[in-house]
Amino acid sequence: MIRSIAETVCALAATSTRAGASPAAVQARQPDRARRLFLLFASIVAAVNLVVFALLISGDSLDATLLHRPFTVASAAMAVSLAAFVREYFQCGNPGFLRIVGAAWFVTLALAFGMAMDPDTAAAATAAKTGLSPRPWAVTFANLLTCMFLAELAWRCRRHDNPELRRHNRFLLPPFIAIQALAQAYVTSAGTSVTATLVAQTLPFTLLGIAFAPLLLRDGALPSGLFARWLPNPAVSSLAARPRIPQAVSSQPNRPEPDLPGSDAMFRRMVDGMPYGLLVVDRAGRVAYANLNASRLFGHGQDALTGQPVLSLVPTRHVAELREALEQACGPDAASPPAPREGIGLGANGAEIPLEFSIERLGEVEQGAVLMSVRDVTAQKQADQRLRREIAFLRQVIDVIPNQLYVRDGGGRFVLANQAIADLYGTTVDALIGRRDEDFKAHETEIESSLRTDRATLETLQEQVIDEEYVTDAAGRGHWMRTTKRPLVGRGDHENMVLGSSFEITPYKQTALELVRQREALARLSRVNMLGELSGSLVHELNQPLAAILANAQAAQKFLTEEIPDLEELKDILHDIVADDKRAGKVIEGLRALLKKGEIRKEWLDLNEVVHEVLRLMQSELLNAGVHVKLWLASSLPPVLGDRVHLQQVLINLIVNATEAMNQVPAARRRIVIDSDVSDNASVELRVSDCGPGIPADQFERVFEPFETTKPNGLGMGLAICRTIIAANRGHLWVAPNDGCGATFCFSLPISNSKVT
Amino acid sequence: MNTDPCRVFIVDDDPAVRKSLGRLLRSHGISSSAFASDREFLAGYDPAVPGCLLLDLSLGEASGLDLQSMLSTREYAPPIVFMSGCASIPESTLAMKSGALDFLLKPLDQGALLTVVREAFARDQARRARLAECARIRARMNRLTPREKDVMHSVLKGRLNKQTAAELGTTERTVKVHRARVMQKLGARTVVELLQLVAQAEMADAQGR
Repeated sequence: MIRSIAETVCALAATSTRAGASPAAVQARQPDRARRLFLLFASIVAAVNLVVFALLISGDSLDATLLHRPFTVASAAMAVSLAAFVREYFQCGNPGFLRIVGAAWFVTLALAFGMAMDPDTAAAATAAKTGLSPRPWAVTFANLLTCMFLAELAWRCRRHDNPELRRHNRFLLPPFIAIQALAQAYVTSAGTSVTATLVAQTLPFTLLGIAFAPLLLRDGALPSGLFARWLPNPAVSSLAARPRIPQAVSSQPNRPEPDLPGSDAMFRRMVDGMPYGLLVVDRAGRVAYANLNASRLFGHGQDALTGQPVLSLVPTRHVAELREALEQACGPDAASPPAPREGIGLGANGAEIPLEFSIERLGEVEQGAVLMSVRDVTAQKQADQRLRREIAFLRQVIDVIPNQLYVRDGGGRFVLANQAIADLYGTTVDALIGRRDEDFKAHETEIESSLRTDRATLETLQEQVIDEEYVTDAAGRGHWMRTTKRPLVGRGDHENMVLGSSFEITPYKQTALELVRQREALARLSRVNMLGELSGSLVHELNQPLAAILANAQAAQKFLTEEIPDLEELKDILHDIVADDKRAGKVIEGLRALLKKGEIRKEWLDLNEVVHEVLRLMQSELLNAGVHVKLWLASSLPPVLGDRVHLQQVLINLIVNATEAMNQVPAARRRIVIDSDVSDNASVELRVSDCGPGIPADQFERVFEPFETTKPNGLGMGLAICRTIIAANRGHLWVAPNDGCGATFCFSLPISNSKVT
Repeated sequence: MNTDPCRVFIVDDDPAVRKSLGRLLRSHGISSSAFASDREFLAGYDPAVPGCLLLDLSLGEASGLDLQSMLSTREYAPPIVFMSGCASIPESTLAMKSGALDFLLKPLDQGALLTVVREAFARDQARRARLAECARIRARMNRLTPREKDVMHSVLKGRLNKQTAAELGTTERTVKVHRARVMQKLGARTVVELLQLVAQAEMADAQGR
């Protein structure tokens, strides 16, 4: 019975070693001292078991004293491994189930152990040839715990990431548990032979020990267990979260230390818990002590590291450098605290590790010894590199952007600039940083306006949009820019800055100007064309005053031939001549205005006046066409802002169209009605109605499209140009059907007081 | 100087033109009256005053051609001289066909104006003289008895007294007496003179329309 307990403990010690060592194995990836001890003791237990087994199957009779010795040895080994095991679990913070069960088991086995140590009891038990010890409940309880442990182990191994362990588990654990249960049942029942009991208990444990022993050297985390999830304690994963110090355990296996402040264990634990790798290098240049982090960093075990020449921990090409650093640290002018240096370490697998290290003299503690603190900066280096790459990438991105992009501080100094703005300034990005506009440009107004908007942005902390900005580049060429300035509110000790982004609109502006020019040219062409149509009317307008002037002049000539010329009459004649001449001049002026290639000249206009002017020009035209014009003009119209010539052109166009639309209408009904009024207090509306055939409803918009014409010789541009002109004067032009016959063309222009320019 | 009884009636919608033309004519001793529109002219025109019409083709809302056609329905129409600043060929053709004396282009040439005005005056006076003669002849003719008129027509047809007597159912002697009386009343000494008188009267009748 006691042996079976010993075997159980052996097997479970192996298990617990695995469970306990796994976090360390994960971290350090090498068997540590604790695990090696476990292996040692477990092997002893297994060996003793084998011996016992051999004895059992070789002889019929058993000598209790013969068995007493191996049992004692096995029990001692078991006790040691058990202690280590329990400590392991207590130490590593393994969750509650194993801890509680382990504690209970320890107590139980201690009792059983005490029994086994008593030769009389053992002899009595053996002599009685029964499977029950004087304290059978303890053994039974131990066996029950064994079953639970095995079940837990089985559960854990089922999900273990080591395929070999899983395979073992599948083939060995179920039969083992079954045999164990059967053996217990058999042992519990009275009257069985001690031989059978021992066989039943020894065989499975031995098999199990052999099966699992190789796995103990393997790595791999143990998954969470079967029973563990019913307990409130943290899961197995918390193992990794809590630093574990196997060093302390394995070096002092028999003495579980209380972690008293100031104790050596406490100190070691502190040292191991430090985020730096610490190496104490003695006078001879060998590592006297290495903490856990140092061993992890270099990939050697702590023991392996101890005693190694420190210079072997760096690649050969850095040896001189390290030696110099060591010497310097021991020298009289060593900095305190020591300045961190950068270096390269050599890992156990030959890999180079970027390091940051500092060396400090430990003179007070030990003559000639130094403390080397080492930090793996691989991650930091990688982060640095990544950051540099990202910065380079972003730099590339902003340089590729065709818009000018820059950040300036309150003093107008460039903080950030992209290639586009550097090109504009005829310099490089680097040269621009920290400099100001006036370092590159001579255009004071440009500099001043740019600074002004900078200030406005900073003062209001609002985005400023400069729709059009004229900027002269380094080559003296002008650019039209649309610039947006946004405030960048500074954080911490950064002041507020301005982010400017400029977009070149020169091509758009040229296109827009070209468009205006072309439109004006087209409008002029159409006016010339229109004047051709009105030539009869114009000739009449010119001829009337000319006729009067001629007649007056000739009359004067005749009067002068008289003996006593009538001076009053002559004065009167001259007065009339002047008046008529002026009148003719006005006609010419009006004509020239219509023909002139002039700028758009906006002025305050009375639309009624424009109507009268146009009708005067068109009088004979209308007469010839037999068209009667009826005026219903508002008595007083508010002035509108517009170009007189353009509005005249539109009106002439509309009247000519109306006249032509009525070609086929009987002369008596050829009537055009022109009326004007104020609509909605916001605009002046003018309507030209005819009595022609009208326009089909689906053509209302088409008539305004270019090249749409119903006239045999028409260009189809008239109404299209009219609409453009009215739009340029901020108005609308549209057509509507009349109630009776024909169509009405209307246009509206905003009343001037809405916007004064 | 202003002895000519003829007047020029100027119809033009342009006051400057009216005034200057009137002045020009006055400087040449020709009196004139000015009217701004056709209506004004029709209201103020006295057909008894000899002269001519100087008519602008375009009169604001109306046309000079309308006035021409209106006047042609009247008992007496003065000679019409059209003037225009920008006349089209169809318009001028129409005006001439309708009996206009001339068609002048503005600005008017002084010489041409005076020539045409004088010609118009001459025509008007001639026509008026003819009409007066015609009226005189007609008055004489009105003094003839119906029988005498019949005899006259027969004579003008070149019939012999004997033939006339047979047609009228009377004697040759009676016809002779009637014929002598016709000659006496109309103041004609020979049959040829008689024929001239009657033809003149009929022609004037036709022209007066």
